[in-house]
Amino acid sequence: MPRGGIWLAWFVALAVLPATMPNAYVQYVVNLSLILAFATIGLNVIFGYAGQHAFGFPVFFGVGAYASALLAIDAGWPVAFSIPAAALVAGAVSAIIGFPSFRLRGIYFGVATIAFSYVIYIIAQNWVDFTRGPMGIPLIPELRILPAGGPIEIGRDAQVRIAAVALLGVVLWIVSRLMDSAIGRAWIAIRENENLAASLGISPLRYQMAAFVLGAAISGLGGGLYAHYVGFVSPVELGFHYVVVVFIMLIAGGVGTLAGPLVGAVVFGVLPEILRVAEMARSLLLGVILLLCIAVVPEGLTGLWSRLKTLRAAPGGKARPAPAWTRAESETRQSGMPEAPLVPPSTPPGALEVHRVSKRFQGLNALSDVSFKVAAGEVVGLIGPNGAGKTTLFNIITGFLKPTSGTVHYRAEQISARAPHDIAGLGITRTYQITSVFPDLTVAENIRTATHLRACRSPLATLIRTPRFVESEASVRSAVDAYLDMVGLSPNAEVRASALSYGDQRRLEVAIALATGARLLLLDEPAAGLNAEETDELCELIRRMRHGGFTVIVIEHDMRMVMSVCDRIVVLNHGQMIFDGTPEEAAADQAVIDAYLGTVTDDA
Amino acid sequence: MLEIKDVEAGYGRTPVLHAISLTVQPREIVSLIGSNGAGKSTTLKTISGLLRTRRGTIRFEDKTLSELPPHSVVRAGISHVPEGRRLFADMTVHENLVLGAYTCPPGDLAGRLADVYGFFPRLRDRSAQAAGSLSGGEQQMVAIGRGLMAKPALLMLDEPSMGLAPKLVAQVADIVRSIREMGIGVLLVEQNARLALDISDRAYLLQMGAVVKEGRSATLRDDPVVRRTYLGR
Amino acid sequence: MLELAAQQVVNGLLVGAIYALMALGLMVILGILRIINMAQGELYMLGGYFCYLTVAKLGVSYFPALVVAMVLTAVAGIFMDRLAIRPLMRRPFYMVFLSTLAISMILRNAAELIWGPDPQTIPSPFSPLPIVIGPIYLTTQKLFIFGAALLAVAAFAAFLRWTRAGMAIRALARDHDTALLMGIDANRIRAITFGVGAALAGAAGALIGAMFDVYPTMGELPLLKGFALVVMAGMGSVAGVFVAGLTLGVAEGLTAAFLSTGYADLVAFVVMLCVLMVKPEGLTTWGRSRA
Repeated sequence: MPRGGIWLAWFVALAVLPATMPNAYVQYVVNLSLILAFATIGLNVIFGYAGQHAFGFPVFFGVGAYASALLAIDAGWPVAFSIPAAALVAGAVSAIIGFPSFRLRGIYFGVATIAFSYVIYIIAQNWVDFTRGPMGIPLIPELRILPAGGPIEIGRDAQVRIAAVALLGVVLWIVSRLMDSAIGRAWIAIRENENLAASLGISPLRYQMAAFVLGAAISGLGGGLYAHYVGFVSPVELGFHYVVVVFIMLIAGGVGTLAGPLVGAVVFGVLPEILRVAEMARSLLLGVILLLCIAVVPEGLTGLWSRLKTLRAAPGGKARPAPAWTRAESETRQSGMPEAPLVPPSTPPGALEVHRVSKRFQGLNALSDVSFKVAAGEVVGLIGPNGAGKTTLFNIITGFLKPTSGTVHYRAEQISARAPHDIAGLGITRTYQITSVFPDLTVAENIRTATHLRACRSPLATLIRTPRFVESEASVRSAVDAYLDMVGLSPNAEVRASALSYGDQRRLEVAIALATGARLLLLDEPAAGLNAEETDELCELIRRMRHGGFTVIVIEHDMRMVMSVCDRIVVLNHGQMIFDGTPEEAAADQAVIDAYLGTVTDDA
Repeated sequence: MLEIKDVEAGYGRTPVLHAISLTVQPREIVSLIGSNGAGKSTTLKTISGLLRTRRGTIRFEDKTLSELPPHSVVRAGISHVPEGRRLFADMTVHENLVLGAYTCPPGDLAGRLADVYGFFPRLRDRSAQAAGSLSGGEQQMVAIGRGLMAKPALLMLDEPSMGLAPKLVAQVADIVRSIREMGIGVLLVEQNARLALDISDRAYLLQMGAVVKEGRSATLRDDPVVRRTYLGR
Repeated sequence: MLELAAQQVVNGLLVGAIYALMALGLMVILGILRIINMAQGELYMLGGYFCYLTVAKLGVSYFPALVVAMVLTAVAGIFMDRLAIRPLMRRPFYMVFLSTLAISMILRNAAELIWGPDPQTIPSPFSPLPIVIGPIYLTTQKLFIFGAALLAVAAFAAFLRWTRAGMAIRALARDHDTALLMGIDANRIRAITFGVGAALAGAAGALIGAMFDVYPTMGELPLLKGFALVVMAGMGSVAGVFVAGLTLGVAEGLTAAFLSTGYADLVAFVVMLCVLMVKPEGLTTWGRSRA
């Protein structure tokens, strides 16, 4: 979080200093850069924070410009109203565009945003009656914060700059408040690992739309300022050139940071003007800058700055090997008293019932008529050879797949048709076969994000910091400390998850699962890649979970572990359930043995 | 012929193989068995170059393969028939086979095709059909045939019996034995331990990325350690 | 009315064939390398300029100049990949996308600086006399362009279908890892893919440049439309893309005649958006290799 004093000083300097320059052109350039900063900040919200590749996004700047101009001229609105209204219009347009676009996966989302932006551009060029066509809208009423001819005389450029800086301050305040809350954490979670975010209870669509609309409104606000400063808008403001320039500014400034978009806009808004000598080669230079940024400095100027700072500081942040999973082992072993229970889950206990679930994929029966129950507080092992359908079953229970037939009930509620984030909200969570964490977040941030469902998520409360919000954040902090402690990752709290050793990443996964407050945990091969000692520690942790009132279903191939920790075992083979009973019975059951060791038809 | 020493490999951050060592002699059928996640497929992928060897060496007939990209491994004489067959489903059987011979000089192509069709006569009738439309057993034949088209000295088969009905599993066993008769060595990965031990001469038992037991397949068949690895007791 | 429609259909077929060439170049690069090459429009532009330079400055006749232009563009494409795209392959894919965008800006500006922003005319060997068939005016040039585009598309299809490299490209598109196991050298095929993709764009630029002049920004709109076409027509079927391209060209022509020229440009995007809304996963990706 930037320190308030520095920000204030910087803003004042920005507002005042250029006024001391005699050159009106320099003031113009600085003002334009400040105004473009709204576009970069808006793009940063959707692209930098929420990680959505909305390549056509900067069009909303132009949309705001047009909206404000038309409201002022055609509807006669005063400028003080048309500019905020422009922000709302841009937000509304973005909602219309965003909603269908977010259904698209992968590159198609970005492509659709480009297409939409081009459609808007073409409409602006051709709907001459409304938008004045390619000639644009001239003579837009000026923005004035002081009435002309009044007692105080400040130059027009300075007035606009003060207005822009003030509004930038408000916008940055909103953005920074949001980012420092469950809402911001949810955006980052979606960016880092959307599936994991969903299984933590974060609805991707809702938060993507929120970021999209907020970013568009911010961009539109800037567009409004632009219209009433420059006095003229044309389809160029909606064109692809602006799109590219805004992206360059954001990336060069530093994607995903608070200061980045501002730095990028000011530095790279001013830069081409400084390079006036190379006026003709402006696009070329910008292209080269973008390439250099991508190749050499993808974190942009702000990233470079923090890299330099950490270079000078003591080299911290290296992962240290974590102590044993379970704390105070020696104490309990000696005293024989049970461990303190785990941080209690936030949802009530319940039974899971899988009823005649089948799943077909294009002619392949992944699951056929599987039925079993898991009572509250049980630890059940789900085992079977490769391809038996175990992970498919997990995907169905957690909502990532819908069953072809059959139902799943939890606490007597049907969950088979619900979305993953809804199911997470009921208190079910899972881990993944391939380690799934938020790789570029620190260990502590990972766990903090996982507390999403238990944190205050109201935007209003976040902005004005109600007591409820403050309390919620405090309890999140202490919960994070407790979970760090519990899995033995406290010394590594500020280390990036991607820097952890494999075994530690597995611990983090478990901590994340617990931090959601879920009662039913589905663990998919948690012991994969762990050595014998770590596996024993994992078993110990699962026992403690049972003791603490959790229900656990474990997919595992490590039979030693399954035998030692599970109350019951369900065996799948070729999508069918072939056994449901105790571990001892399973090891003696012929069908289970055949499934594992395989069969050979004796042809001799 | 093939010698792997102390190889470590994995996917991204996930370590899978820890110091694996094994050998395959010419005209041998060697099988890798072990429960799921033990690292059998990973071993094959490391040999064929799809995965990077983090440590250790892979040598094949005086060539060091550890640093080579997959296409060089094929040219060195090792053919990998991947798990799940991975045929090019919308290409014909013929095209799939031709692709298998990608590295061969154009003059040899007709001869090799004739050999493979001779080995799998059923495929000749289906040669113009889309590979994805064939039955499971036939697809497995195409996959193995495709591997043979590269005229390898060593053929690596990853779970050839997976998803096949028991009768076809027996057929696969016969095919593997016939391949050995052709003078080609076979490295067989199978989850079906009994099948693998039945067909092969020697076997390595993998668990958690390491070789825990090796020896002649006939001996291993009755060894309780195999059962314990798979079933835990 | 009908005459106008007929004329527009004919013109549209021509433009559509050019779009198809652009789309095929994009498609093969996207299908194999998973790269959206935003600089493809500039390769198209370079094709036009290479042709112009070869004819106007070197005095070569138009037809061999066409071939020269294609070859030079192919080389430019391979260079572009080696220098500016392949080194970035480890970056997240949006970075690669943005870097091709940067390359496109650089190339466009460079063209402006080197050859000036004004359009240049490629001296045309064709007779300007129209061939009149009923209400329709054709010129030999138009026929040639259509025929050449058709030939290029057919040659490309044949390349994919019958050459070893073409087979390798198709294999890589369907199942990258298994293709490697066939002994396919991914890097070599990558270069070939870029070369072929660039050559297609270059051909399109050289062909159309002789009719409509070459200028630095000529590639911008065809790129976007070519891309819309790839999304609409799906990847993997050369004939499908060609037919879709012709259809798009005709649709644009009719829209231009009966609605307005400006809105004609919308057709591609509106249709593409409709397709995406109906099939959010996009149309068939290059075959499915589940076997």
